[in-house]
Amino acid sequence: MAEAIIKTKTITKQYGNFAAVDRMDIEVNRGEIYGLVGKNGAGKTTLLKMVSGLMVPTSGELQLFSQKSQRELDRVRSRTGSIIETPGFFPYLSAEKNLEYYRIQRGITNKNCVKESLQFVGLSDTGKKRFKNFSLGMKQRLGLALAIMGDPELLILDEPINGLDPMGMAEFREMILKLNHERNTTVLISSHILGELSQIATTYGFINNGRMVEHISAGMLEEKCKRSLIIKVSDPNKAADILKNEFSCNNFHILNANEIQIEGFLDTPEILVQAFIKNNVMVSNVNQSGLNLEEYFIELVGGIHNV
Amino acid sequence: MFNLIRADLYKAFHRMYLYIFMGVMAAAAISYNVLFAYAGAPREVAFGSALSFLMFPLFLVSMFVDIVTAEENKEHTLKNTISFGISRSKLYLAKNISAVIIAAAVAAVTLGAFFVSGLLFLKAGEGFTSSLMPDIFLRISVALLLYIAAIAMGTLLAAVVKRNTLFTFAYFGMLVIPVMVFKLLKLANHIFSNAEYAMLLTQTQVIARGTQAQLLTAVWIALAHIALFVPLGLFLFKRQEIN
Repeated sequence: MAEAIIKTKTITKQYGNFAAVDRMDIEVNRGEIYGLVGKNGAGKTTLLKMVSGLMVPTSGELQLFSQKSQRELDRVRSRTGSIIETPGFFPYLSAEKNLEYYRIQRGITNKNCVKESLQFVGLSDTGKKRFKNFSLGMKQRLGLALAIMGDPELLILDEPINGLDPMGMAEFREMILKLNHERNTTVLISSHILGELSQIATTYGFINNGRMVEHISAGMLEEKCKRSLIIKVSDPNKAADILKNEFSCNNFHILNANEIQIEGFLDTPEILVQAFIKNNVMVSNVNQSGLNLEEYFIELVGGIHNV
Repeated sequence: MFNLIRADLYKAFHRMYLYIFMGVMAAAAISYNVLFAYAGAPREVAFGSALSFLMFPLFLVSMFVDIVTAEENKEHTLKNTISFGISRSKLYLAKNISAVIIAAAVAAVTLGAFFVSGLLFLKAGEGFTSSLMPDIFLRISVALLLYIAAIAMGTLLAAVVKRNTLFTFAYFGMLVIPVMVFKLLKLANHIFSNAEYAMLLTQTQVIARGTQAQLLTAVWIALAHIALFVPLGLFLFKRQEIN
């Protein structure tokens, strides 16, 4: 049975009459990369702040590593690392000195962990350069270096790739995957860049207006996003006849001179291919067409006007 | 808590700002004695007159609180500490202690420069008796306690007021405005003169020339401020949303 690292029960954060997070249940299991998806103001950062202890929930229950009392939550938070919103560091200190400050503060006895963390994120050659002179990408990397210092079991990352260039995003993605694969680090990550999120998340939580709309595994989501087959054929009209006559299928569209789109047969495209070939319709390509994460999310929250 | 204090000291003593500040304070202390030496004043006059400056460090306290606590709001670094599960109570107490240690280090350098330069540049007159130095040190010790009380007040304000500039204004306001208000109100009712007397700013002036009993009262007032501001600050800080 999967071990829940984070578990909330009807957790709520209320500001007057407005609920930033409204009776939300979430469960993140060990080894997962849990992608939190939601529009601006949906409640992602508020949820992550409550999990990180930066904000006290108005009501509901939070469990971390199966602990729920405040004292125990504080204790087990030492097994986590986090980047909440933009990374904050002392501007007049170098990367190494900033991390050394936190190493001393956290009582980490391994002095090499600072250099190891900087090396992992590719900041080992910044020398005496002060944090205030870092680029946004370097700041984000330093944020990750602090988050992973001390080898945490859980990473909480709020919009960690904001402001990174495409190369930086790819590198960041690789770092997260490496941590997850090599150290089995559990990751709870929110991001607006859904294309990036879709490349790493193993589970998704879709949030809208402070509520959890859907919690789904990446595999299940992939299944749900599948919509049709696009087959490249030598004669689409003849392929259409075969679909009508042999499969009694009318859910298709001829897209162009050599492509036909078919609703259904998502799990058994080989049956169609065999039938086409048997009837002298050459098949050169079979693709699945469907929704991407962004389109799925938009559909889930009720259209582009609600995003 | 020891690690929290150690980390704050590591940060503060890796900052040029603190060394420049120490240098300026030491230079001011030396210049003061040089001026008295130039005027031909004896050592006891210079040392005695220096006591009237005991109120000024009260205004410098905000700098120590800024180095330790207020800048954490400005740089959004507190989240790195809290999210690691470090107890807010321990953190708050550690911030108070760290500011006191840094202030003590600056005070040690300044007083060291002051007394050493005084001994070097100034000649002892007839008034430089064996009881003079213990009396001066006693008054300075009471002043240090009042500064610690001011640090407690400043740390509370730094925890509550998130904007650095506002924090400085709030600190200066808390020091000066109540004294001014009580000064006016005591014209209407004498009871407000007691309130004015209980203020830190008033006490730093009283202890310069005060009697032993007044020094003892100043100690109690400093302790009362600490007893008020530390728990109150802790109470507020524990409920703060960290950004």
